Amino acid sequence: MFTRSEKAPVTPGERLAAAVRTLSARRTRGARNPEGAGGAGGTASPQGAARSREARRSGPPGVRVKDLSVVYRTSAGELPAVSGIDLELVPGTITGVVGESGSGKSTLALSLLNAVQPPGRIRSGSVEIDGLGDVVELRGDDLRRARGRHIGYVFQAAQNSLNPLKTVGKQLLDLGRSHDIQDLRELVRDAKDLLGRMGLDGARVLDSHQHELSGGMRQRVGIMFALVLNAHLVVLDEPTTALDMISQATILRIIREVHEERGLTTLVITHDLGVVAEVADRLAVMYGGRVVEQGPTIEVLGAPRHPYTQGLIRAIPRLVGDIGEARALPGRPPTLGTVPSRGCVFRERCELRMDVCETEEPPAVTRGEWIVACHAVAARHADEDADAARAAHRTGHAVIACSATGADAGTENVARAATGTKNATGAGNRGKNACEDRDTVARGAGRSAGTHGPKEKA
Amino acid sequence: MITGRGVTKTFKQRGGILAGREVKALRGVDFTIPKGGAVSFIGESGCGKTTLGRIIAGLESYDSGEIIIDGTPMSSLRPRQRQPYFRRIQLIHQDPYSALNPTRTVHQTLDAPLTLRAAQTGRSRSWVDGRAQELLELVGLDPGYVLPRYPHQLSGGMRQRVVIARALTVDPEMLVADEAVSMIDVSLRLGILALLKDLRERLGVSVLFITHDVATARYIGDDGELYVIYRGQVVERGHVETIISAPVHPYTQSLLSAIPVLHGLERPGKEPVTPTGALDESRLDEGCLFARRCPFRTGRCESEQPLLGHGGGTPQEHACFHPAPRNVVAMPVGHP
Amino acid sequence: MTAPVITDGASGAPGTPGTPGISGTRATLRRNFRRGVWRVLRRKPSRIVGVAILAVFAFMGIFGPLLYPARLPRDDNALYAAPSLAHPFGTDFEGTDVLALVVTGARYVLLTALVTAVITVAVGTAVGLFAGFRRGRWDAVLMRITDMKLTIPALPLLLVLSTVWKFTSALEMGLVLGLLGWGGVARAVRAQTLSLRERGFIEAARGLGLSGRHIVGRELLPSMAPFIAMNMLIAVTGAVYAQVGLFFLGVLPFDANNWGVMLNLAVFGGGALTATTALPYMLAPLLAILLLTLGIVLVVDAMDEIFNPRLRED
Repeated sequence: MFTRSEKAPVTPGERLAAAVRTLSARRTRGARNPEGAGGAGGTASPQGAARSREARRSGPPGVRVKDLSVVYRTSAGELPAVSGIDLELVPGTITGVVGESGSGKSTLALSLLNAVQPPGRIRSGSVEIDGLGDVVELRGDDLRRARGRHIGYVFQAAQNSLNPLKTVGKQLLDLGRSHDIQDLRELVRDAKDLLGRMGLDGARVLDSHQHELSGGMRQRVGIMFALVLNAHLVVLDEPTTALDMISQATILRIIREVHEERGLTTLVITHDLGVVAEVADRLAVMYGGRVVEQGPTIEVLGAPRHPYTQGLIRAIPRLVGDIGEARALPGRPPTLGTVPSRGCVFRERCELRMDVCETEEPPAVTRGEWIVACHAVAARHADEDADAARAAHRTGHAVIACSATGADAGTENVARAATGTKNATGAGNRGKNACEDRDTVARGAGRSAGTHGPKEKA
Repeated sequence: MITGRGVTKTFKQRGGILAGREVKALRGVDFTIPKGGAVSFIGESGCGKTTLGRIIAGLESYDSGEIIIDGTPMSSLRPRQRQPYFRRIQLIHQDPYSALNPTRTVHQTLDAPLTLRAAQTGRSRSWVDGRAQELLELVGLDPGYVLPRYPHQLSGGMRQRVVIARALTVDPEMLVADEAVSMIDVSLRLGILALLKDLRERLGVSVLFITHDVATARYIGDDGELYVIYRGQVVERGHVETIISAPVHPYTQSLLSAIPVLHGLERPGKEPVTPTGALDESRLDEGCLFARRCPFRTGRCESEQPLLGHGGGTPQEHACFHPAPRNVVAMPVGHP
Repeated sequence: MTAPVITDGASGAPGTPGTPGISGTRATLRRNFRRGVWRVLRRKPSRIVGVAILAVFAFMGIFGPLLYPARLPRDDNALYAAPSLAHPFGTDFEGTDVLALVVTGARYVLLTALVTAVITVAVGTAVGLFAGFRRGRWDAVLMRITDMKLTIPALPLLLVLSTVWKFTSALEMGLVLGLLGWGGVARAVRAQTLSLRERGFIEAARGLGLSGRHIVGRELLPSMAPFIAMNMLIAVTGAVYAQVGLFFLGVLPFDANNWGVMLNLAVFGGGALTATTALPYMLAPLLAILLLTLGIVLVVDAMDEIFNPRLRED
């Protein structure tokens, strides 16, 4: 991968690396991941060590969030930030979670690390990560080990997660030491290599303090920290906020490249639809603490079904086309205190609002890889499926579940657009037409589609 | 309404590693903003667009050049005399929360400038309250709800509207919106943009929109002018629609190429331009400033400095020796 | 009236306090403020305790001397008596009840401390605000003066001053101590002002043409209110220590009883540090100082929330 130069250390970064070299006892590469209780801290459980061994052997982990609910204690009682979320991160894919303020997306990201701080707590549900088990159950050293080693987290506006008083190199060593990395110089080398791949002068950056780096550089350092311990699940929280367009494009490209090279499973949390469009294979739209729509990115953007997704896309001014087409969404996103406890959270701003939306939580309607939680959509599908069943009964053909919504005008375009886009590992079905046999979709994907949450089957 | 010629500003870095080093924020910029017009400045962060916006709003000094407001050059006036001129230009900040005093209600916030205005124009106390309500309704807020509230009790969009209402208390002729919607939720942004557009149409205020998001600039003034700024210089300048559909300067093309494409809804432009090289750390001042990152540079670009003009017969002005329109903008799927 | 543009929606958030009509008049704002203060205090019981303690001391300061005859009774039969029901803290070298001494001595100490705190904070804030807001030459001059003042050693100056001027009354004492101690506050307020003046709303106020007086008095000062309130309370504790300490050392002139004097007499007159007879005589004022400090500290905690509307309403 890289060669080690034997010249005398010159920069402080290199001197540091040399000092580290003399300190580290074991020089073997395997020493970086201590097995069992040998090199690990005294309180690490044998199960935890076994799990980390397992994780290293297999490929990128899948994540299954089931019925997750997180509440915050306020003077008005315990208010839900996230309610009954079902989300699956397919191994090897980049999933994007889009939401505005109050949607609960940051809380969701923290829950993946079981890092929700009081006054918040995870009330119910599970977050299963391959190789780690249910993160919600992990405590103490097992949890600490999981973070960083298995799950890399890139914070929002990475400048806030860097210590302003220490150089980047020192913080890297701190990180390595707290994870009982034996071969620290290997760590430094990997870090320099990673930084180099992202277009930075590794040695110089390691010697720098946070304020000496630009916003784009700091973000790259944040990404480096998340990856340097060889985590295979990476969570990026608003990775490109405060960056201008060109830096953003570069960072997104880096994320894609690193994701493919290292075979990661990636989750990107953002408020910017453009960011997920450029980088994610799958997209989940959050509103008021719930996932209202999820599916392959191209599908969701090309033919959105949920009224919020449609409204959100419509509310973005575009560069080309009629200005008047852009329309604002009336009302405003709910806050912790204004999220309705019953019925659909979006009903105040929805143009398809029905009576049932006031009282009933919308069911999750599934079509292959695409899931939408909306009463209007459910009603429409119930009608179609009933028609299709009747037609099939008459003609004896297999049932074909087809979403015959008005947005279908875009499905042909979806197919056309798909050919021009880049592919990511495991993306499989992204280009497929939404109007397809459910079984074929499930088979082609090679994974169980639609096995989470309440569903409505025709 | 306001014209600038050769505006220059240099910042000296004080303290730290970069002590004593100079940063040329603006290098002789010319601009014109007509009455009731819409002008946008776009560029990366640090390009000087915010500095220029603040100079125009009278919040920042400039080192050389001339600013002329309504025909009167500012250099001919003493600092205190310039204030009434610059007061006609109000700045809308990026962060609506820090732009409002958190310890004062909306009513108190609007009261102070309106009382001043009443004194200046010889109006009574009762006019102040009425005008406050009028302005709040103008920006689309319910006065009964908003007046007694503190800023933290309002959403980001509402706060920004209050800021706009406050800016309108002095009956300005121009509003400078510096990234005015970037800290607001996506679903609320269009509301603010529509408001600015509406104010322009209804009150005839000109709007200077500073942003890195070209689409929002286009929304406010698709009949307006666009200035593309790079490292303190204007590299392309002209009609918004012209530049978007046929940009000729490679930097403009990189900016437009970098705009995320909503795959599924749009398809990418055919010839996207990506700046080359690692981060631009050594800031050379010779020749074209963009040359080091430009994929189309030639020897001439590195030694000679291009001037703003219509070289090559382009409809817009640009500062490039090899202008060439390229198809970089994402098109909606289904467009030919 | 002009038709409203695309609105943001005005759905109210639950939990907002009962708000008045359109024009938030001064009276309603004051009422809401009082209600807010009470709510903040109720949030932590420790704050109520702090307020109670301060109330007791305030009572002691105002009404204390009225509870006892002008000349405290001496009992020649009970010099340095041990604590008993009649004398919870024993008696002093003249047989006077120690508790009575503490209560009557409170007024002087509290009054002096209050005057010191007010002067320190008032002068310090004024200097700091002016220097921070105006910057430039004014800033340089004022900060030079502050620095010079800070380098003047207070103790020798007091000693010298006390030979020339007998500033024994509480007000005079407060004045002297106050004028010696405003340096720190000035620097801190200046730092706060410098950082606040870059905030958007201050810039906007200048852009709107609001007067400097308005900006300082109505925009900057309220934003610094929690900072100033905290400084005031802490200055009170500092002032109490300062004067008690100085009296204890015998540096300051005195003509009446106060806690510092008691300490001085207990230690140097009664040998309280070596023998146990005068111990309660020494402990009583110490306990009083401790309790007062405790009360202030518990209340200081509430200052930030009281003056910040966001924290107050929550």
